[in-house]
Amino acid sequence: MIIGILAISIAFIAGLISTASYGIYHKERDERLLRLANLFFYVAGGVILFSTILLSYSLMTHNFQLNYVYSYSSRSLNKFYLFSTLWAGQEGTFLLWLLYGSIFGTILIRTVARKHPLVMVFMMMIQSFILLILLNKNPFAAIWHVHEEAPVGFTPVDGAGLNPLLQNPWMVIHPPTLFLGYSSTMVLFAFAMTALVTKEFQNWIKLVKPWVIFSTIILITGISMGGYWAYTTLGWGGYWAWDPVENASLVPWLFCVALLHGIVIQSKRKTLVRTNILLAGAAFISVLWGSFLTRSGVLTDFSVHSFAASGLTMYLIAFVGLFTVLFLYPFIRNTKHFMIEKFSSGFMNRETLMLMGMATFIVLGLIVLVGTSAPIYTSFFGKASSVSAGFYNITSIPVAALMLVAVSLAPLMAWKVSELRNKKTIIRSALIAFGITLISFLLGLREISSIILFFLAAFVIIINGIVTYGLIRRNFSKASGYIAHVGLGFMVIGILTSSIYDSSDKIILPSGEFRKSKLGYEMQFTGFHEMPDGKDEAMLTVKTDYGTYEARPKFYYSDYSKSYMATPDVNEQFMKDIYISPISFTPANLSNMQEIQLAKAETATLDNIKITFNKFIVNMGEEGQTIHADLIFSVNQNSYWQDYQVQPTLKAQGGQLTRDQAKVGDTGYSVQIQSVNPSSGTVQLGIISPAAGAGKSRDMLAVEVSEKPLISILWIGIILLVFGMATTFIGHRKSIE
Amino acid sequence: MKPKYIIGLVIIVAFIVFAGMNLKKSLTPYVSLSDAKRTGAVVQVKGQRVPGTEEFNMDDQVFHFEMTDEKGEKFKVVYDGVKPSNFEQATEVVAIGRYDNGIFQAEQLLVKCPSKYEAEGVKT
Repeated sequence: MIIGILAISIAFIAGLISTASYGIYHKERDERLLRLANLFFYVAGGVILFSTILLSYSLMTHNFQLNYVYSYSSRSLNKFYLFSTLWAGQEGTFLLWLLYGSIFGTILIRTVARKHPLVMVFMMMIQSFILLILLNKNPFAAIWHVHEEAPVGFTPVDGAGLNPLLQNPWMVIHPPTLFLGYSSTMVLFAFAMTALVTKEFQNWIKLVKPWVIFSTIILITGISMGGYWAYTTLGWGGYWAWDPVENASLVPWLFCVALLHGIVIQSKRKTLVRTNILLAGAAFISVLWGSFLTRSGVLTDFSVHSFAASGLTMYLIAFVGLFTVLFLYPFIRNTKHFMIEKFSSGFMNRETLMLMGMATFIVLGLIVLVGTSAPIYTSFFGKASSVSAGFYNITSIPVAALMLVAVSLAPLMAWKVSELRNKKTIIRSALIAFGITLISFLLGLREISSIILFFLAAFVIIINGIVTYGLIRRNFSKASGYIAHVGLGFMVIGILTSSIYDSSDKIILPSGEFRKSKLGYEMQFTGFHEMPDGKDEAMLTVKTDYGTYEARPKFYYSDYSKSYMATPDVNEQFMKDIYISPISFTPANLSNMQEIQLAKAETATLDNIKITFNKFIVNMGEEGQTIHADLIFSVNQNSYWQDYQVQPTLKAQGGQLTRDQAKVGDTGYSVQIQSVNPSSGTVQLGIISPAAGAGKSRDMLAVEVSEKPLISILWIGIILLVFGMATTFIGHRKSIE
Repeated sequence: MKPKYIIGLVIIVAFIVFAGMNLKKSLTPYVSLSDAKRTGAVVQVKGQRVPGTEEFNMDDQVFHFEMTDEKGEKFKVVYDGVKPSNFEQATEVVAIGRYDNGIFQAEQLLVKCPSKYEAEGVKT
């Protein structure tokens, strides 16, 4: 679509002009230049908005001439999911990033751009680079631009469709949320760069703080939505798999959390100047590195999730490389210009413990970065290798322990002076935490590392809970950070109980019969319930100690993936979730059908049955022809031949054949007409014998049922964490006003 | 140097050693089947599935199938888990696990699927 391609080009040029104008304004401070720069910023922003609307419109109106529309949508999608295909592909997510960038830019113009135009220089530099990528992977490219075999002007009848796994409400809001978080890190980068260029290392943190809080909140919200989607949709039972795509979203968040605490320390104590600049840069560059890892296709072999190879590799490498150099060069050159107050001495002051907490977040970020990048650097030394999930699970244990120690003690300590304060609170809290841990031990908490982490997490919750309680009546917004800490404690407990103490059992359910699983539930499969969207549900009745419920896991054939897809049923309760995931379905066994051919009055003998074909009875009706085969079916029962007269039918109607099976009394046998041959007068019969095992003649559903103890605690923890940070954000906004 | 920094440094160095050891241990290289047989270690074998061999065994409750590695050597894979939902569509399968007693015991299966339009081309 030429207008769309033109729009991206205009936005790119406007972006460059705007970047340059802000740069010159920074030097000259000529008001006209600022107006010019703003004008071109708004031109770029307006064109980006127009492009987004144009692409949405093309998607909604099924303009399959566009490769993007063809590749990710289809006519059968409902409006809701159809709109979500706007961010189903790479081009769309870049466009979304640009749109967010324009919104952030608008806010920056209204707040800091006049005084600090360099922030806008770096913002627009990044925006322009993304526009350059989009020029090469244009969302408005026609299908014949991408597929050589397609003739010019060709419009496919229907699109390729959207992966059914993505047709889920969480998947509609998860990617745009995560991309909001990703793109917001460029504001942090722009502020850090401005600080480096202008050598103002104290002032910037006040301006950047709300943005850091914003990025932190949005990233964790997006990550959690993805985890919840995986848990409730993918059916493997977990919410986190240390997959490259997940890891790539986690690292910037970890750096943002560290930066947020670094800013608090710097605003109180004027230290950590370098660390904070570095963290702001790292948050953004880790986003770029993550995009390179997951979008360029370098990890294609190592991740289920990653986008397929895209031909963008060079641009993405340039993206990371360029901005890393752009950041590191002034950073290293400026080392001696940093004015740094000495860090306080002693352990038991707030800043030391906070720094320890920060360090654990940074270290965790580095672990994930090193682990996820393993296929890149190992390929230099030999065979490319990826890291198994065990690496992250093991290494994060000691880091988490240190993190919890820091988070529990820091809130009680004073700034600057090293003195172990509030000893009474510490001892009492430790005793309560110990008591709770002891109860959990009696309930089955065994592993030493989880006992330690559990104790520390309880300790964090109690101390931060006490601090929150003390503050909440006086100044609610000051309590917000501690609420987030309580959330962190709950998250750790939820992760421990749900991952280490989950138990599962696979069970086969013959239709209609109650079977007891090893976990103690009695389950009955009764059949499938057809759904209008084609995602049929298996109907299960589950009897537990505290009542019976109906489980409805989805199990359906998907044309998109040419295979069966399963979506689990999750019965969410406070103490535990019961998670039922279909594995396999075997329809009643019809494969033990034997075929025989019989002429009139002929008798065939199989193992213990005899069949005699008497005659055809043919009815001609208005609706078509019906052929009955009149048979004598003898079954040997305890050496006694029992005769049954049966008449299977074959209906021919408008070229369509329908076979009606005839049951042979209650012997379990049935018979159907496969075909008739009018010229020779023979009939081809299919004889279905009762299966050897009684169960085999019934539909059978195999399911995996598992228990996830206290996973609700994890979700509660996340909600508290986000709630706490959100009130920080609001509190911060108020303090500025 | 203040004792604080020394303690901090010791913790960091100890941790780097700890993390490095674990990293080395958990690296799973891409190998051919013959390497997998030889080492018996946890590895990743990339290859093609043999269509029609996949089956969920109702009795021992495992999913098994056959695949061929990149050198064309055929082998049996057993996976004690739920079959990946897009398995039949896979152009490539990566089995992560170890070779033991004539069977590849997979801990994890990665399935590479073509995006649909790549697979079928544009329907004209």
